[in-house]
Amino acid sequence: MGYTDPSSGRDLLGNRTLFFIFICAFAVVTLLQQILYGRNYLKRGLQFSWQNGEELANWSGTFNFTDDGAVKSGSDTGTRYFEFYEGPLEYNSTKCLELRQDIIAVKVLSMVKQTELFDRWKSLQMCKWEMNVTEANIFKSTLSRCCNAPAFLFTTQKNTPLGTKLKYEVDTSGIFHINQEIFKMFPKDMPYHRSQFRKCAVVGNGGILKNSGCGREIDSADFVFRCNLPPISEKYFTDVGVKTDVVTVNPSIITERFHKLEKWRKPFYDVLQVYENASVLLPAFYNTRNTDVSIRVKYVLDDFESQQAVYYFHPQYLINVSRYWLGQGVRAKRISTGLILVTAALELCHEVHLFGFWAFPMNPSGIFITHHYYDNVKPRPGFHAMPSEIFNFLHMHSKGILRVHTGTCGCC
Amino acid sequence: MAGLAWKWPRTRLPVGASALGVFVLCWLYVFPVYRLPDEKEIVQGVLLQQGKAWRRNHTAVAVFRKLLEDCCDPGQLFAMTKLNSPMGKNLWFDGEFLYSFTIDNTTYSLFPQATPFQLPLKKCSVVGNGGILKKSGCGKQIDQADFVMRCNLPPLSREYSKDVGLKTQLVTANPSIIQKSPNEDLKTELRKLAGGMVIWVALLGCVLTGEKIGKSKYSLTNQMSPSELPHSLTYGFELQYWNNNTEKQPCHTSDIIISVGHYGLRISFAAEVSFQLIRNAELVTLQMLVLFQNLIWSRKAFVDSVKVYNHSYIYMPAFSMKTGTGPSLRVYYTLKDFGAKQAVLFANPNFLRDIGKFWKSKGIHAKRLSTGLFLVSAALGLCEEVTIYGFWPFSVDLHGKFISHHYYDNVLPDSGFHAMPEEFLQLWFLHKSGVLRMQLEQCEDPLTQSSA
Repeated sequence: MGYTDPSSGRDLLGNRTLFFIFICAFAVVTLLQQILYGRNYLKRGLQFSWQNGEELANWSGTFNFTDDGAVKSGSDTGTRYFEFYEGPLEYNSTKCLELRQDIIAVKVLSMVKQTELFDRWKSLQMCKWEMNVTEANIFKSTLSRCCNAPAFLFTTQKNTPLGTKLKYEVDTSGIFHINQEIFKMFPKDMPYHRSQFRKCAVVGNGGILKNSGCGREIDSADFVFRCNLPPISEKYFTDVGVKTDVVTVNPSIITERFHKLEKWRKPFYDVLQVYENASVLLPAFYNTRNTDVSIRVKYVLDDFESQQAVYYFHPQYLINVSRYWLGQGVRAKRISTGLILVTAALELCHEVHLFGFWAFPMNPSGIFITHHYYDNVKPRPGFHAMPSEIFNFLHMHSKGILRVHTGTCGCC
Repeated sequence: MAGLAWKWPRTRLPVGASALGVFVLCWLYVFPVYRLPDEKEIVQGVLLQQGKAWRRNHTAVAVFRKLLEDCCDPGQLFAMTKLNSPMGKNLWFDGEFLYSFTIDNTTYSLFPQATPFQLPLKKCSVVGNGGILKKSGCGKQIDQADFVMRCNLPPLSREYSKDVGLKTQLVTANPSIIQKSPNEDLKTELRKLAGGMVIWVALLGCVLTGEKIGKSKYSLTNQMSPSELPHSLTYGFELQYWNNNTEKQPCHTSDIIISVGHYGLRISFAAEVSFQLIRNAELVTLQMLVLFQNLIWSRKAFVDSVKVYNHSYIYMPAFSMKTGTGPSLRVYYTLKDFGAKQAVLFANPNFLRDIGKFWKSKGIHAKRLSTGLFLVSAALGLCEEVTIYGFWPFSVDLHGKFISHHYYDNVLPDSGFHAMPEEFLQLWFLHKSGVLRMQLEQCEDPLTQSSA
């Protein structure tokens, strides 16, 4: 009793303190949520929930798909427009304005049931799409301020002079020193300039492309971007087309399927040959693991005397783009290659068409689809925020900035 | 404590023992059990034998072949084949302790079904890289054999063809050649050498198309600043021959001389490209130039460099050292990818170990046998008539003239790794007993030879 620990009364990191910290953290998180989502949530979201009150029960489950749920939603709200469906409606008709407004009204993905969103999207399909030049220009100018693809999309000799210490996108501590050998691989300057192409197609690999018959429409574009070395063999040719101007390759594919190019190289070269003269685009400076593999791609093409160009994403461009989309509500460890390509395409092209961008397990009519048009390998969960990216595209479609194709294509 | 030592009884024994020890040491010094004859003695011995005519002793050949068959079975075990190394077999690296590997599906698929030669081979030439080959004029004679074996990807350019021939059926390659990476030494060496002087580039019908020098056509003499030269060296020159028709052709050895003040730099192009400095007409090799960097980056340089060997097998000791396996397999992949005419054969570690043991029992004490001796042993097992050229590890030739270490450069090996003189003595013994023929003199004039 003679000696008392001076800190005993203060309860350093004891139960009480921990409890207090816990409550504080909870409060902070709630507050942040309120700030970030709050305004829209209160303004529109509540109103919505009251309107379709019977759906309040399973309101929270955005990914809660059941067969009957999908079928049911297909039959109740959506069909009411199909009753008086007589060919595509004009872009500026009141009905279309209304339908577009319905989509734009959904500010946050989790605000409505997914089936509800699908219905609105499906209804919108009956309207013709037109580019809204003013909206598009506003958007493009925002992009040019944040990201500036015509100057910074690739590493070039102009934007990355010899001796630059290039910072990686994710491994921020990692620095790549541009030496003579790497410098020589870069193009002199960006090969594309602002709004160079009239009509661009960005082809995602979503299962929605299967049996779409969009091949000819994709091929009719002036410039076609494809993601992640997709197969364009005869089997898929009618759905995805063959024209390719830029194809991205994820270094993880090279690591897994081609042994980092340390063993055989011909198989990889043969795969690239399929795309004929398409340029190969790699995120070499995304993280330190990607660099060697990506640089090796250049050597492979040089060794086999191929005409294909190899370009590398500029890490700063990637940082800027993901920062921009973070502001738009795309929260993910990494934004997808598709989103980067769309962002770049918006600056490089006058008109951007998206094919195969649909990251939901079912198509808008509620029929289940495979994850990719060529396989059904699910991605790593929690890496990309695909639904939220798609949601952004739907918004942009409604605003007339770009066009998302999700149905089957007629002829062009 | 110290006092105890003094109390120890003194006997005469230690004195007697040490005296005996000293005596034995002296005896061994004066009359050694075995002493390797030095260079001069060997050369003298060889000279004594020179005048005599050499005849193949067919019984001796057969006996020696029998010996080899018993110990090592070269016909079956020479290379890794599907027959002698089935999948799942565990093999020990012969150049390392305690490391083994298991043949898996991917490795197994790289092996040929059986040893891909028509055995037994008739006439074989085994060509070492000794400096004695220089100006020997043996090229024709070497090419006359049915099967020509060479060591360590030697240069076979136009310049040497008269002395070493052109034909190759089998050439060994050490994984270390492929593992070379650029180092800064060459740069600093050249900077030092160039000093502050302006380097004059004398081009003998050649055009340098490097990054800095490639833009414009160069006439016979051109100026380069010393800072530019080493820079472009690291990335390799692209040498192109510029003839009168302004048609570009690849440069050949000795077509280009870069003279540095009083010095000259000579570049020779082959698998082992060396960078030589001519100082008062004396060749001093600086460094390797073409770097394959383990074949993980560009591979074309390697494929181009082995083109001189036409349809031949590249024999690689892939499973001798742990570090050598990756590069050797990569050589295989590279050549297959490019559809090259050359094919890769992997040396069988068991065969190499057995041959090593065989020669050890004959009294060669070295960490490892040289590639040349491996090849000669294999040839003795595979061929009916063996002639060896360029096996001469000494710095003087038969006439007492100084010669370079290799016929293409003068890079001395690390001492203590190979026991070259011992190996030579063994081969010389085989020559004397008529098992193989060792060509040391200059070859005869081809005209007189054919008539004789």
